[in-house]
Amino acid sequence: MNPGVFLKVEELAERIKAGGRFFLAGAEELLRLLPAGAWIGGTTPYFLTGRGGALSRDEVYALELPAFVTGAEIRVYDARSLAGVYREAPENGFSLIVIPASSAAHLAFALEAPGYADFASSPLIGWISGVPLEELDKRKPLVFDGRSGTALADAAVVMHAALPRGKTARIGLVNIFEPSDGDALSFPESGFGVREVLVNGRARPFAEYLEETGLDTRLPLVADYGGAMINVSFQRVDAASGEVSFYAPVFKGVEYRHARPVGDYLEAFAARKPELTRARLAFSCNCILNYLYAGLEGKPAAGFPGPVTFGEVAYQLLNQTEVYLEITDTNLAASLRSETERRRRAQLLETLMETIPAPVFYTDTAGRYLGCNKAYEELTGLTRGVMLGRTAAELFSAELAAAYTQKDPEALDRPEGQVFEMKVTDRAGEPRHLIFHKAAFRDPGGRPGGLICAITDVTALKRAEEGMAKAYETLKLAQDRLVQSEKMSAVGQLAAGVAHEINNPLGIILGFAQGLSSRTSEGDPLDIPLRSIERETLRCRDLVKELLVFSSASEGEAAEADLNVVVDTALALAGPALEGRGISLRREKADLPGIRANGGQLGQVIVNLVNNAADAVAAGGTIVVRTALRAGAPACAELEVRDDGAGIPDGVKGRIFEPFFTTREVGKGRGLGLSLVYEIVKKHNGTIEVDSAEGKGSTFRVLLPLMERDAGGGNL
Amino acid sequence: MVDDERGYRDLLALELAAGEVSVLTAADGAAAAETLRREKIDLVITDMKMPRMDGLDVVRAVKELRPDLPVILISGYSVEDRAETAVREASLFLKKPFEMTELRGALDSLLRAA
Repeated sequence: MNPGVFLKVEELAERIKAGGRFFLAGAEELLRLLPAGAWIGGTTPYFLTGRGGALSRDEVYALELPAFVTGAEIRVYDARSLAGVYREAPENGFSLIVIPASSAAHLAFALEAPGYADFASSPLIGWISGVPLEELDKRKPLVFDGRSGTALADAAVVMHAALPRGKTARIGLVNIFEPSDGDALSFPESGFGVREVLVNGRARPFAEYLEETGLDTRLPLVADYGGAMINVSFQRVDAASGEVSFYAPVFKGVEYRHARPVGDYLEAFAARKPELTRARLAFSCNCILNYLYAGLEGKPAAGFPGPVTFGEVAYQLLNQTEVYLEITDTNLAASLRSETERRRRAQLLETLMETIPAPVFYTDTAGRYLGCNKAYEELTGLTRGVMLGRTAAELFSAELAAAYTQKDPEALDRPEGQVFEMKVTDRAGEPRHLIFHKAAFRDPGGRPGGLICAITDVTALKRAEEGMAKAYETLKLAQDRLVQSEKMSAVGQLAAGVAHEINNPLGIILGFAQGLSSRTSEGDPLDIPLRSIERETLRCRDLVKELLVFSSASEGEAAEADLNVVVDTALALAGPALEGRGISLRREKADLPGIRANGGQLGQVIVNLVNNAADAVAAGGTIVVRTALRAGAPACAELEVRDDGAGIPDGVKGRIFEPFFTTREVGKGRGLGLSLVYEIVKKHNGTIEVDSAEGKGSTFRVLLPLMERDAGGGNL
Repeated sequence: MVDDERGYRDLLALELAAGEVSVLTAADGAAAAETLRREKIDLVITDMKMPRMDGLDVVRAVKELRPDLPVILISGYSVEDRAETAVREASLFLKKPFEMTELRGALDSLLRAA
């Protein structure tokens, strides 16, 4: 296929009359001379020819549809009916469009095309017609419907061309502009004209921003529209009204960046020019702004031949971009990924990225952010506008940046990817456990392009794990206590059971011993043995009595008691012995509500604790017995016996309440004192606490529940 | 003196016989009831826990045959349930091991009252 030729009107007219089907671009006067026929066209006097950019007022650019094009249907669309332009395209083919600049159709197409039914479902290519720049105010841009030769100033004219099986149309574009790493610009509304811009998310008057930054408005804004870099060119900055207008609309929610300056247009174009043969190239057009700003006039190799236009259409309206249509044989097309398919995939990928709940980002090999998804923005609290082009070191904690710096080279090098876990602090200052999954991606040349990273937030999981561990600890401690308590009770119960059986023989021995003893007089050789039998039997009886405290059928009744009275009574008994040993006893007391207690047993608790303390302190030591009310829910009565004695060695702390456990010499103690204390306190529904430091002394604290005032059994 | 434990029977028979009382012994409640019918008895001492008839049974048998007789209940166990009833129905309760002086004192006062 021939990519269009430049023809004199006369020759073109002949070929139209001969049935040729044409897509034309030329000066208004020339187009008006053409006969009716199968052609459409638009006005422009600027072209790229084989000899470079040129202004032509005597030749018309003419693209003749080749014979293999099976149908060429011309339609005129107004601003409303344009919405059907994709739906009405042939199933296999392409559509050529030309729209007059600044018409309602132009505005509608520019703003709404991405929303049209079946948008981008079939190749649509074309341009916006214009007028010679020096006649901007005198003429109107026009399009022509060749069927009648009518010139239209307010509608788009389209030629829907159908292709036979075996042929495929594809649209491409050559954009020499790429986004700079400057501010991220977005706009609160879509449109050709705006007053306000969001600079890195912060609203500002756009004209003021442009003036302040001195941005070169000959360079377009560039944004990524679903995988393709699309330009929006500046038309005018009106400092007085503050309005900034464009040749194509900016879209709300899309992030733009000012284009990086292009050193040499021709060089940049050559670097990006696709490998196209004249046989495949069908149509091409380039932008008037490139023509002007890059000074393409008279420069060969400036691009593909075609009209120089006031806006380019490749599916949608573009600026400062060269667009082209190529027609390939299907077997060739099969090897090329079609633009439609590429877009579909880009769209799918985009949707996937935005939908998955895992935060995802990707960086170049230097760690600069190239993009991310919504979840990542939510995680970091930063918009992608802020992140793009920056590194972790500029955005996040030094710790995270250091981890990336250290680990990224390895991730870039490992085909199987990299997984690591890190605790980071989020924007609310809360710690987060994150698992980073990083994998390298390659650029089209097969070189490492950068890293893509997906993050799993396992903070909640970690918290649950920690909670579980804590709960397990608590449970284990409680279980240990229970086992300890059960063990003590079991030993006690066993002892109590044995004690019963010992009671009977003991009674008999005691009875006979006492009987015999009463019949012997002093000096009798049997006197000492009999008295010894009696004394030792009584000792056994006392031991048995203590053991019986462990049996469930405790003796004595519980009644309301005043802990202070019980303590004072017990101390009156134990006190004198202490004085004799050079130990001082101090009593500290506070008024207490009544408790329910067995006075005798509780007295034993006090005596045992005091005796124990006495054994721990040397002469000159002090024992403090203190009673107090301990606040809490519920409050309880507290009895404290504190000494400044030897303390309990760590190794035996866990065993001091075990029956028969004693640190005294054999024969000096039975090892029941503290276990009795424990048992009695337990029977009183109380608890006992021990603080002890070796060499510093021990403190035993017994906590007893207060009498319930509203309980039925109380006699108050 | 009713007790399934021979030692106690012997102890009481020997020790109390040293005073002005004579002691007849029985190893269980049935034998005690038999003795009660046959002999002239002034006071009964019975253990609580015995096979077949226990102390309460003895107390009740005595109440039936000789309602006027004082009964001393002796036991090595703490007081609960059935024993509690027996203690209420008996004239006196002594916990084993008791001292002989305690028993003699109780015996004296109960016999004097009778």
